[in-house]
Amino acid sequence: MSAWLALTLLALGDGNRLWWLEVEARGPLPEFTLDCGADGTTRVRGPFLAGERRLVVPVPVRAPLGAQGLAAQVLPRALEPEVRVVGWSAEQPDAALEREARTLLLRARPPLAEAPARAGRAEALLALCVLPLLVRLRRRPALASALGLALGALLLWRAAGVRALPRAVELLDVDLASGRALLVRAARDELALAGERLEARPDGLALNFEVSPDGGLAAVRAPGAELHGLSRAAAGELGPSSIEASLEAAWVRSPRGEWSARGPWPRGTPLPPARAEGGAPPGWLTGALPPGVGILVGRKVGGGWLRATAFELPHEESQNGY
Amino acid sequence: MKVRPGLVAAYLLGLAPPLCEALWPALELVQGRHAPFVLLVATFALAYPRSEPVERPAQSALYELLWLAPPLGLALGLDLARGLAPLRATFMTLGLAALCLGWSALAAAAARVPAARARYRDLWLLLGPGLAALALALSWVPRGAGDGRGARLFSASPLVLAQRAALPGGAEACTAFEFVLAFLVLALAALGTRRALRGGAA
Repeated sequence: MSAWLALTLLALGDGNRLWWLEVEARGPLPEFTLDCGADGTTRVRGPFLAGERRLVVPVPVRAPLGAQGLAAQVLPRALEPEVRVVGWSAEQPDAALEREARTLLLRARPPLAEAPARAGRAEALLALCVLPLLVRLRRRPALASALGLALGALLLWRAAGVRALPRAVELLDVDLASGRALLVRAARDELALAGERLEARPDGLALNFEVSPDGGLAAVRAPGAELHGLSRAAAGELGPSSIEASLEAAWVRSPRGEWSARGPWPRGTPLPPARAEGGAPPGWLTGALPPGVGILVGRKVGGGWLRATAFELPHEESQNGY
Repeated sequence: MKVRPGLVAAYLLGLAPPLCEALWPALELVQGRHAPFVLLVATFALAYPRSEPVERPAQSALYELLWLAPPLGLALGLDLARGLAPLRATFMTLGLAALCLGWSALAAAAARVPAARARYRDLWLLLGPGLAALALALSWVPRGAGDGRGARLFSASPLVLAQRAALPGGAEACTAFEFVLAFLVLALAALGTRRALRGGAA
């Protein structure tokens, strides 16, 4: 029932906030903005030279009926009189993505990660620069201690107010049975886009696109939003003895549903044997996966995650009942 | 106040992780560890048996601790920013700082009388680095011998306590029992040194 509901919602295209619009701009024009009402804006950076130019630009509208319902959607409005909105582009990449990678779109998205808070350069350098002064004040220990205490309190107050920085997370989601792959990038507040689909949480937030002069996407900004950019990717060569990237840590699920930690899996080497230590794979990677097939999940060397379904275990492991 | 080289080394050691991370954004040195307690490991190491007598031991130890306040404050602030509960952070830092202060004052006091210095040297070696070495040796023997509840007894050494607190998740796992034990051992060491001090004075 829940799968049917999810498929229905997906067919309705509820989540995508990346739709393409045709516009005509009459130059010269430094830049122009498309207003999508409560859904946000698209700012297209110029300059545009004299003459008329037709562009296809992305807009962050919500389209509850998906690509099929775009015709009934209210068109965004250009704020500059030199710009005319022609209509929705005939090619919507999200529609192709839904056709080709529907099952991958249903999988859990990577959660957002935050880089731990760091000291500011000014604070750290201040603590370093005050050291010679403290040494010089050795004959006046009370003064040196008071200075140390005051500076310690100041640095404590400054450092405690440092905000953790958002860190983008990348997941390569592969279905080896169909040979399709989806690259999912997650970030908070801001995301550089090159994908075919954009999802934002919480729903209903205004998104602001910044588009480069050639019509390509540059970035989407939405303070407080969790952003997920999705694009088709190459599945690459993936099998029991070869993977595209080296994995820092790998876990394998047998078709019977038993998970085993494999530790690091360097590129071009056979799948390491199961090991007792290594723990369980992250929960978000293993939820709602198809039963009865082999699964490989892992953390890539240099960052990012890999999740592959229909993964075939080496012959000898299959024989041993894994 | 004499600025011992060890004090400058402890200052720089405590400052190095946040400083390097601030200067090189790609670098991640702390990785979930609790930096203030790394500094307090070094501070406790400064309570080694001293040969030169100190006039006002307690005051001298307090000055030395306050001298280290800038890197300690910076590391503690970052720990708070990274999500360590303020109450626990305060309790852990003050507790460990008080232990370092107590041992440093004891070292300075014992330096006045040769017999007390020798007694303190034995106690410090046994209860400080000795216990830490034993804990380390036990963690090498087969799995399970070096962890569990029994391992908490080694927190009698501030060296072990500060090191355990500095590990990822260590500050959250430390208990009041470990602090009570560490202060009890400090009191015992103070009693032992005091006897030797009195004997030497007589």
